[in-house]
Amino acid sequence: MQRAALVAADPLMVALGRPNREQIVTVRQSTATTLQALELTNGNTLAALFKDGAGRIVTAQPDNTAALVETLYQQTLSRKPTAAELTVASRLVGSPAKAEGVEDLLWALTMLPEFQLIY
Amino acid sequence: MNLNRLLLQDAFRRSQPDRWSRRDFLKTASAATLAALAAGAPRSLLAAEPTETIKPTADRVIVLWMAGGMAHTETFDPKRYTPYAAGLNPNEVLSTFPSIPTNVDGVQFSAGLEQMAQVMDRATLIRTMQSADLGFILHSRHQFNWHTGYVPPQTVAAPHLGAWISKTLGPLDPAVPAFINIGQRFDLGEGEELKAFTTAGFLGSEYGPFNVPFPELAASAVRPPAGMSPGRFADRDKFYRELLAASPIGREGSGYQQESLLRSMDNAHRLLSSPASKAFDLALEPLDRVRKYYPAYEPGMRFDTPRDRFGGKYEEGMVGRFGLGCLLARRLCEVGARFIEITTEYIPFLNWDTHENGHSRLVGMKQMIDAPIAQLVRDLEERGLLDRTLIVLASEFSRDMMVEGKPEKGVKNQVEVPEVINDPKHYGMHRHFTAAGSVLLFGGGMKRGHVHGITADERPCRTLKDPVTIPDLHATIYRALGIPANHGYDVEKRPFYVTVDGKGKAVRELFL
Repeated sequence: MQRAALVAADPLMVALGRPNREQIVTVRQSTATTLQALELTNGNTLAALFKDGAGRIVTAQPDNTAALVETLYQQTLSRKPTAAELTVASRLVGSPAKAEGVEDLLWALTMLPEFQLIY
Repeated sequence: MNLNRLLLQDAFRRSQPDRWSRRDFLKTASAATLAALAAGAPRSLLAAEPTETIKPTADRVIVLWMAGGMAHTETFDPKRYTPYAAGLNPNEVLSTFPSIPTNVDGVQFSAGLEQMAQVMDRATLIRTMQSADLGFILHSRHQFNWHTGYVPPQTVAAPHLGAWISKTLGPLDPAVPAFINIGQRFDLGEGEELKAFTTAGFLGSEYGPFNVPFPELAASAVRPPAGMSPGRFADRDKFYRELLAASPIGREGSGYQQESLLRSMDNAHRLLSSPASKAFDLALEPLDRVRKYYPAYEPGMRFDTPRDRFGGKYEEGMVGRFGLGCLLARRLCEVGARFIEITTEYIPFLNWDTHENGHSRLVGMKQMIDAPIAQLVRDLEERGLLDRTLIVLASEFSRDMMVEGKPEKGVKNQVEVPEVINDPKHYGMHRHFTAAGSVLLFGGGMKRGHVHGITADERPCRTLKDPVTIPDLHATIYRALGIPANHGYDVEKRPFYVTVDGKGKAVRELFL
C-alpha cells in the first residue's frame, strides 16, 4: 500500500514540518528546530537543488558578478542588495562567477531570516 | 507574501508619534500573538489530578527493536526442543533449538544466544508481554501500537516513544539530537507505514527522529553535504554570518522567530562542528573494538547496497548493520544521547518476519544480535553508563508454529502449516502469536538477574502469570525516566497522554 501523503514526506519536507495526513493540527510550528537546520545545512535534497541551480545561473550570466548578485537578491528578497551586502556577496561569488560561489550564496540567502520569515 | 513587507514599510513611513507603528504593535503584541499562533500546537496539559513526582532511575533509553515478530520460544523463553526429522507432527514442536544455561540459575535461553546468556545477570527478563488484539495481524499496526502506545489509525498523528521522551525531557546534551533512530530504511516494503509512527506526530517535528539508516555512514549525516570540503563548509558559514550582519533584517520581522531560526542554525552548526559529531564516526573506534560488535568488519566497509557488496550475502550485511548500530549507540550514549532506537530493520518476510524456514533463518538472526547486544551491555557497564541507561529489547509480538493471535481470540491464519512436516522450510515459528512475548531490560534502575512472569510449557505457550501489557511496559519505561504515566499534552483541546488515557501502570516489581 502506498499513500501519497507519506511518499512525498522526504526528509526535507518532514524537517520543514510537513504534517502527516492523519494530523488535524492546522497550525505549523512557529519556531525553527535543530533537525530542520541540520537538514537545511547538509541535507542532500536541498544541496542538490542549489548545485543544479547554481550551474544554470553561472552559465547564463558568468561575467557580470554584480548583476548576478543583484538578480539573486531581487529573486529571493525582492530588493536590491545594500552596498555592504553586494561587497560580501561579490567576494563569495568571485569574478567571473564560480558555480560553487553561487551555490553557497543561494544557500546563504535562503537561510537568512529575511527569506525564511518574510517571504 | 511580499505584501507583508510592503505593509511593513508603509507602516514605517506613515508612523506618527501619536500612532503605533506596525513595528511597535508587533513588538508589544508579539507574546500574545505568538500565543494565539500556537493555539493549535500541543501544550503541556494541566492534569486534573496532580501528577506524581517520580525520582528517575535512568537518564536515557536504548530500544533494541526486533522487527518482524521474535518468537519467545526460540529466544528468551525456550520450551521443549524437538529436532528436525521428516514426518514431524507440527503440534509437537515448541522450540526448534535446544536450551542453554545462562549465568543466572534456573534461567535458560535458546541456543545461539550464548553471549547474551552471559549478561543475563544484568537483565530483567519479562516473559509475558501482551500484544494488543488488533484483529487480522499486520506488523505495521502492531509496530505502530508498540511505538506510540495508540492503536492506528488515530485522528491526530501519534508520537513515537522517542518523541514523547524528547518533548518531555529534551536532549541530554544540546549538541546531540534527542531522538536518534538507527538502522531503518523507509524506501522498502511498508516504508510508508513505518513513517506513520516514526514521527513526532502532533508534538512537532522538532521532537522527531534523527534517522541514521546506515550506521557506518552516520558520520556523513553530521558532515558537510557530499562534495563540499570542510574548508568550503566553514567558509560558507562564515560568509552567512557576514551576510547576516550586513542584512537590514534586524530592523524588521519578529525577533522571537528570528532568534529561533538563528538558534537552530547555531545548534546545527554546533553539532556539525562539535566533538559530539565525532561520536557519529565509527572510523574513530579502534578496530578490535569494532570487531567485538561485528567480527567481520573491515575498515571502510559499507552496507548501503548490501546485495551487491556482499556478493549476494545479504544476511552478512544485516548482521553488520545491527552490530555497528549498537556500537554507534554506545558512542552516542557517551556524548549525551537521550533516546536511541536500533532496529534489526523491518522488511516484509525478512529478518524476524519468518513465514518459512524459520529455524534456519533464526540462526542468522541470533548471530545478528547476540554479540553486539552483550557487548553493548558490557561496554556501557565498563563506562559507568549502564546504571543510568535503560536498554529495552522488544518485538511487536511473538510467533508460534500453530497459533495465530491469542488462543481464545484466534485470527485468520496467514501461513499454511502441513499436517506432517516433510520439508525443513516448514520447520519454524511461522504464525503470529500475541499471548506472550519476551522483553529484556538492562540497567536504568531495573533488577538484575530477575525474571518476571510465567508462560505455559505446553502449547499454547501463553501467559500464565503476571502479564505485562504494552501500556504497562511503557509506563515502566516512563517511570524509570521520571515521567508519570498520565503526563500529557493538549492537542486542539484534546488531552493526549504518554500512555492511553494516562492509565498505564508501571510494573513496580521490576525496579531495584
